Amino acid sequence: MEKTEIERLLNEIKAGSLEQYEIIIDHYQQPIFTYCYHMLGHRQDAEDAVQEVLFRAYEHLGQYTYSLSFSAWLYRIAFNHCANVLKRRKLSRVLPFLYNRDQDGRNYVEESIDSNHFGEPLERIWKRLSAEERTLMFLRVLEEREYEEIAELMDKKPATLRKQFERVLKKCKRYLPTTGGVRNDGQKSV
Amino acid sequence: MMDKNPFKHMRDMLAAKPVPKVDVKHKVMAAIRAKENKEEKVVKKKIGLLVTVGMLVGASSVWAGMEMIQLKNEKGEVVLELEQMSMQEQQQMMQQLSPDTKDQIKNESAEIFKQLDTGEQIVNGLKPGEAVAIYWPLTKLQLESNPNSKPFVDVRSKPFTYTTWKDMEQKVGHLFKVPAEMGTDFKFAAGEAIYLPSDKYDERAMKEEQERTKKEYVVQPVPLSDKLRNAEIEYKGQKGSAFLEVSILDDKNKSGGTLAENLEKVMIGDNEAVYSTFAPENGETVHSLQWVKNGTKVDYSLRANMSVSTKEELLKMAEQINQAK
Repeated sequence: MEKTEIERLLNEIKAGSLEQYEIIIDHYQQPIFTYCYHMLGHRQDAEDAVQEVLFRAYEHLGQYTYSLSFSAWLYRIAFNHCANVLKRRKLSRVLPFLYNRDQDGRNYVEESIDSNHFGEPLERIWKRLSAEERTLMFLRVLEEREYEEIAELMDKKPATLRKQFERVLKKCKRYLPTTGGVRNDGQKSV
Repeated sequence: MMDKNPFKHMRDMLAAKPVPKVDVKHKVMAAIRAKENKEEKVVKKKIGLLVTVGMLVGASSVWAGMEMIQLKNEKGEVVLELEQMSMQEQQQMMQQLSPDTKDQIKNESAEIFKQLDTGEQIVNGLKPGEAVAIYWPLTKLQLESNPNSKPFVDVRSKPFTYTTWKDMEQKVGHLFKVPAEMGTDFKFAAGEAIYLPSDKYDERAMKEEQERTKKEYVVQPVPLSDKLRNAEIEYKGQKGSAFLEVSILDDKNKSGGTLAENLEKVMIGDNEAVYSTFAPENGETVHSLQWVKNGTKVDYSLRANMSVSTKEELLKMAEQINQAK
């Protein structure tokens, strides 16, 4: 969708044409879901996340100022949401008695990356990446976005991201399958 | 030996995992609409408050809740809650407002009253049972007051009117019954049945028309729903009139406020009711009875000036209304 078309829709929505938001949802729900799915590795969590992101985006539409692309703005909301979910999962592992259930009764202690969708060895690598590192990998590796574009989305300088990406790649390399074998804790076994 | 190209390896692994299709449009839109409706109710309440505060600026009133009286049906379930409002608190609240706020409220209220008056005039020109949606674009004042204001769509209908209960009964008799005569000499004189207009108006089309034509407001006919908002009947007697208002309660709509000074729980047969009196600044004291008929959701409110009927007569009339078949 063209930038001018998106801006026209957003202006109409801000002026009260709620039904136009359906067009926005149709356009962005799958890419945002794909991002959340890779971030969280869990289908239901990703579906909950995309709903939350699109709902929050509508709620805060008045704060969107066109200084960055709408897509980048949505990804930022999605990143914040996913980072929170990941943080909560991490806490649930450290403090299971306090965090073992969310408000829907879902048990995060028992929950791990959805192995049906993220099998070994990807799961092994993915678990060791932070929310920011996952975002970087997703955008750079899978979506093949330029650093300049990722920089807008992650609010960082392209050069910083380039260095960070190299570090993440090295980190991934440690856990990639090798003929010599790598233990689950990331230490070389041979 | 480690992989020489981790980028490619990672890409292959990520790309190999199929991503399911998702469609959350209806869920997101439902959540937004639910939130909007909630906010709309709050806005409506605020408008109500502004109008009332505006009246106070013009020397009348705004109020705060004081105490609650509950009516229960024969099964002990709460069917009606009435909150007593206080005049003193109205004045206190008003005194606390800054002069600027008072001015702003006064100006905004003037705009709202103008829009409501215009709506009244438009409805006067309709035939009974016809309804319209009136689209008012946002005014400068409204935008200054709240940049997130939404245009006001005033949806109104012209009531059906009757001169005999026999005629009126054909329209509303399946919902409630009242006697044609009651008390010492009160006779059905006039009746109105107000039905809720449908909310299926095209706000977008009205907005576009208003922007294109720059009219002050845009009117669109809307169909009437089959939901009774309320009915009002005037009974005339030798000393004056008694008025009966009837509405059908739903679960969301069983609480209200009253400016009456005295509230008292009384019985109409085995039916709980609230008896209240209210003395306006420039007028006769009015007393009224309100109750929900046991076994139904019909809410009756019967009122008359105290010079027209005694409390006992009012209770007697209420009993007759409850027994009407």
